[in-house]
Amino acid sequence: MASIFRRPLSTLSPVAFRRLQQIPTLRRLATTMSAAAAPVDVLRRFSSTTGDDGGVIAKQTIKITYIDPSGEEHSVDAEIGKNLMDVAHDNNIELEGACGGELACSTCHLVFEKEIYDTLPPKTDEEEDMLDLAFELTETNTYLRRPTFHFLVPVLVVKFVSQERWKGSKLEFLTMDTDQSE
Amino acid sequence: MSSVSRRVREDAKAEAAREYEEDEEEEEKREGAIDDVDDDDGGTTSGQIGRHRRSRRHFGWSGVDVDVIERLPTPYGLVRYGVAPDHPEVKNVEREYASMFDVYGSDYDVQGEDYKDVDDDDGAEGEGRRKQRATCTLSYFGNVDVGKDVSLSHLESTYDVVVLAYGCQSSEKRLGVPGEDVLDGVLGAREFVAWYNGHPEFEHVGRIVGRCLPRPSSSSSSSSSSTSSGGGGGGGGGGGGRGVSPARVVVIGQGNVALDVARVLVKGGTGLVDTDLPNSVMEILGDGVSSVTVVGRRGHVQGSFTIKELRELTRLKDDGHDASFVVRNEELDLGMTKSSISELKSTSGRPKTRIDKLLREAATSNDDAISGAAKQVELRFLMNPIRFEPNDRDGDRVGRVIFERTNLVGDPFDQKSIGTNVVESMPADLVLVSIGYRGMPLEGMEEGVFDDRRGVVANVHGKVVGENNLFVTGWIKRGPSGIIGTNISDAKETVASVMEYIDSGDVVRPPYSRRRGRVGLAEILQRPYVSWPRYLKIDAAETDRGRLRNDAQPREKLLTVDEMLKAAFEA
Repeated sequence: MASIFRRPLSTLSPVAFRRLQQIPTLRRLATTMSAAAAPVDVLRRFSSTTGDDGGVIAKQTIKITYIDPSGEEHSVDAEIGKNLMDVAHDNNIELEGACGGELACSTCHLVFEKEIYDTLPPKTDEEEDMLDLAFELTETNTYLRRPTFHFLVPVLVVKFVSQERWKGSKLEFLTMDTDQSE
Repeated sequence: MSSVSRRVREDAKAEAAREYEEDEEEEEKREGAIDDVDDDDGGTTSGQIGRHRRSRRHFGWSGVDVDVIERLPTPYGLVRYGVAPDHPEVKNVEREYASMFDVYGSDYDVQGEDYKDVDDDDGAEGEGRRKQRATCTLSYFGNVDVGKDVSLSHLESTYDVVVLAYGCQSSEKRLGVPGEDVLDGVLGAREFVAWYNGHPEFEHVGRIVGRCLPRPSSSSSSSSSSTSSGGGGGGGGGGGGRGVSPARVVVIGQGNVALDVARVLVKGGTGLVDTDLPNSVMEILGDGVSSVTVVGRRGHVQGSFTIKELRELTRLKDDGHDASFVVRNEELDLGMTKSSISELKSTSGRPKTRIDKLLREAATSNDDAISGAAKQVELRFLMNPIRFEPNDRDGDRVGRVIFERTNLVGDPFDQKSIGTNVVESMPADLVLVSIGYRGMPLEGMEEGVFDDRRGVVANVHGKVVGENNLFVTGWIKRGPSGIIGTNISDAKETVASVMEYIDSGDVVRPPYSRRRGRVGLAEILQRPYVSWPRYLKIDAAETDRGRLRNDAQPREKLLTVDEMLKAAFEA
């Protein structure tokens, strides 16, 4: 079962962060901020690198797979609580992130499989705006034939969906390489 | 009003402008002149370290030395002089670029300066760097004008490969209407942008702008001008608007650059105080202007602006800039021809559909928007400029723009605007024309290499046509369009062509090329060039806390080449 994920940006700009704060649910707040931008108490909930007693707790990870534009698969241990751009970069996966996670480009977007996509929180206007550009530039015939869904948001790995569903899931990322329309 | 035509060699990768499309500033790919290519693992010019690694896997080269040549002392091109001051996130690519110099910066130094010694790094990171450095080095040559300081043909014989990435910097396209060249106050948007970004060659634009924007009125009488915003000029309620210039500015164009200049004019220096907008520009822009009208020849569906920039304009008021955003429902309707509807329904229609929705929402909330704001940005559509008329008070300056209302006619994606003989007169103290850019041939380029019709250098997948070792990337290869992503793949294509060229021909005679590369270049150059460490001195001078107006300002740019060189060569 290949799941393909659309991967979002790693960090939010201060403006985006402020906007998110206006959204009532903590769940939303948690799931749409990168680990780096999250307030400390939320961070503690999702990452587990140090325990309260000062000892180091093993990081919780799940295995996910990134599929690069050439079709090559890269299986990695994704640290729970980290966003998918950082996970990729930590594992030397060559996912572009031209604007550094500021929602100012569309080079880091990933494609998710529908059933995972459906569990992800709704995208903000800013994300959809950037996705407009990705759409235009990456839609190709082969792409449209697959049941794929574009998604572009900072997401903490496996916070709000069961780990079981994400385990072994595959994230496919597209770059301009796959754009045939130019 | 003549735009300075510049022939520059610009840095690549670092020139972001994701937000710019058609008639706009753009990301340009770094150009490198590659020398001393050995046989094994190869590196790349433009592109990230990751791409570098990928190419090393595929091609067996042992080393590539890349030199980046730039006419100004400072690198980054449009990231520095095109991207608006309030879009700092777009400039993030600078970091990546700088880090490449960190890792690959050559310790070969013709001027005898101290380069960072990678051998000082401890641990795995230092080890990795040393390994990488052994096979690929990178040098920067700022303040080198190709055509003046070194000829193109000299470069072609000094280096194995020369990649041109100098973008489309020529004079902008002309409207070709009466008054365009004669009246003071009709400027190209690109010049205006270069000025507010502190480009050394555009200081004169500041004098024109200063002349044309009326001083903020000190009286508190509210203006009842029918064509400008509902809010009065000076002395608006609540502290805001005291220094707003009653100027009316008309921007002709429908791209992101047009929206950028509108936004900067309306925010004013005050609204940009926390950005890298230079102090001298802040003074001239003051608290902003009372009215900017952005006028497009075609409809909103055909506009090349992107939604992020439009949304920004709708949020000006909420962000505290005391500026309303106005768009007319009638003009949105006028633009919704059958063909426009088809365009929206097409596979590429999603972005346009969202733009349509955003503008419709803005149009219906107009009434709340207009009242109370001291400043206004209005988008107008389906208006074609036919004439500029002089100012009643000063016949040398522009005073009005005469537009002809148009209708859209034609098939989807091929609609043209046809005049209707209905005219409208719009008062204008300043006019900024933003309708497109063109490339120009580089001095010394051979006949037939520059495609005059398209305004680009003729090429096949980045290899310049003809018997030469020239390549192109970026706008000078494709024309002025695209965003960050487009340029990344553009660069990859050119790099692939470069590698093919080197692998297939006998450009390089193993084990070493006979060409002298950067040693040869340094011998040719008469004037001092700015190396990367010297550029870092300029950078340090600009970010020196003592120079900044507040804690948030990222940098106060040096505005002249002389000042830059002084900082670069300070002991």
